[in-house]
Amino acid sequence: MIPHILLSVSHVSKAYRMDEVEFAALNDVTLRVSEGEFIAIIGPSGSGKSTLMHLIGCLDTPTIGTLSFDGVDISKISNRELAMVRNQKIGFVFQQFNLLRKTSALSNVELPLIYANMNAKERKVKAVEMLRKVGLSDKLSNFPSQLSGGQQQRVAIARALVTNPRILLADEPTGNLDSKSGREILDMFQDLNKSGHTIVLVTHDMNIAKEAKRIVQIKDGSILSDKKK
Amino acid sequence: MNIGVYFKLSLNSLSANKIRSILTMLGIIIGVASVILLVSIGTGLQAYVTNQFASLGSNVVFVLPGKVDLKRGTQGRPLTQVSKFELQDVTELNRLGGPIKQASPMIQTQGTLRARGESVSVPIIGVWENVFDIRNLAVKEGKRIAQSDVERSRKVIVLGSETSKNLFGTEESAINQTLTINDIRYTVGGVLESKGGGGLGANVDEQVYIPLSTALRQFNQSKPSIILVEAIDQSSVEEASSETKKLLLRRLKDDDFTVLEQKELLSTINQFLGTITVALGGIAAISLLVGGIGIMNIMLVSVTERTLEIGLRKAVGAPPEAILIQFLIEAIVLSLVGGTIGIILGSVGALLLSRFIQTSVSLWSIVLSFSFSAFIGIVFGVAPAIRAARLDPIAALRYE
Repeated sequence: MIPHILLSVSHVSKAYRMDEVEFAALNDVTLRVSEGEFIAIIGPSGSGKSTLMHLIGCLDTPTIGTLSFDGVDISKISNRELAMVRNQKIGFVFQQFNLLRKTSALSNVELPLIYANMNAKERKVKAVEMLRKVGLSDKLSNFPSQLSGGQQQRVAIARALVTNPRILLADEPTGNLDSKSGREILDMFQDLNKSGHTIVLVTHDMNIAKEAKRIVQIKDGSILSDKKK
Repeated sequence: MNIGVYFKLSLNSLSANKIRSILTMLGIIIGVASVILLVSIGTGLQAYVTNQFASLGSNVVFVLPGKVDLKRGTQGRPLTQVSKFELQDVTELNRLGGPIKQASPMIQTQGTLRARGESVSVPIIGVWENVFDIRNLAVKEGKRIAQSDVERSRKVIVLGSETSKNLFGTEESAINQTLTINDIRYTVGGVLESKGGGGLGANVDEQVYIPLSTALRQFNQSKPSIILVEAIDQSSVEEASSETKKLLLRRLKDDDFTVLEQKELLSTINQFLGTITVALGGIAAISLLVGGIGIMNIMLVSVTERTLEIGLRKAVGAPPEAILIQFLIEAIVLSLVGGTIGIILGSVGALLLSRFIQTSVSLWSIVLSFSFSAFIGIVFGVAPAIRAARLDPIAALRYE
């Protein structure tokens, strides 16, 4: 059976303008992601790997080229529709966790569901369930400042997964963690992938990239190699 | 998403960031309360003085010695000008009739009353019996000065209610008591009803009245210093004023006297008080501005944090309008709550202050200060949101 192609990036370029100088972050990149894959995008800083992830995550739009998600061309749709795609189909995990301060773990996880228009009761049930899955049942009402880095990242993963997205995007998810908590997060990704989640992980660290089943190396805005294990 | 969800988002955000919310509201509260309070003082002052003048009787024309030009200021103070009025002038004015109902001569000086070891310094006014009608003065206890008192230069005195209380404790106990003015004994014939009013300026309730003839002798004068002329009604005031002028000009020169209508006096005084109100308003405007800058400050300081928050909300799927509506509701709630607290504080402050001086909370000060603060609050609350909502989510997340 041919796996369903979830995401297709074709001939995409992205340029930024910095102090009158045009800077090409991505240059004619083509990439296909199938359902159930665990892909690592690796490259040194400034290689364009984060830009690629932002494009895949509908956080940014390409200068040239097309991007389609689940068969829908997302390089042409409105901001509003992009927001809906992000809300329903994509889960993000950031290096900085990006949790709302002074907001409980539970409320942080509920946030995407609010924008999905889910009622309060259902929201809470789902968020509690998801925090239980990441092992934080006893930390529901804790603020981010009362949690360790590893715990904060697990809250962020619960937030990313609570909408049951088609793809999980992680940008250096272990970058701000000690090696033990980093290991726990990577194990969690492995488990998630085994249970069918599609994961795209961006990193500069080859040891972390080796966790994935497919490694895409990127340098100076172009794909250098694309290897499956 | 329905509006209830937006409200919940906004209120959650406000209560999660209590310090920021309180500081923002504080700017609005201080601005609104200070404007309301200061303007209420100015307006109260105006109302107080207007009332005091109205209590003199609105149909009254004042004849003062010397030339007084209200527009250019006085050339020499009117009450220290040498009076050239004769009692004969008053008798003629009374005989004139027409627009003039009656005229009454007065002499006013400051003097010390002593009784039972107490002493007070008050305005002493020498009058005819008809002054009580012209100036709407009613006695509370005893009787007014009678025509016979004036004719026979009796040493009777009618006290203002406050002076009576200061000397004898109550109004009732003053009747038939004796007091002295420069060692000359007077009998208290009556005490006037209180005209009210606080401690600002000349207090009508402090004034005391003795027969004009007695006063002229006591203070070694021969001429009344002021003539009050009462018109038959409000519409005849101008006519009464010109008749008075015409009559006096037969004997006196033009710059020997000035005829003033009450409304001229009032408008001059109101002009002056208006300046005070504007000055107070100016001070209030500064506090409003400082409050406004406080609001801007808090809002701008929190821009970085809020931009990150907006980036995150967008990343997890908030549509652009959701961000704007949330921030707008936050700003409106802060402005309304802060503004309302400010209005309450300002009004309560004005109420407390009214125990000491007359205050009057005016609607325009409420509307002006509230809308200014709300405007600043909403603009500076929403402006960063508009900017951040336009940013790509990723740019917002990286904002520093």
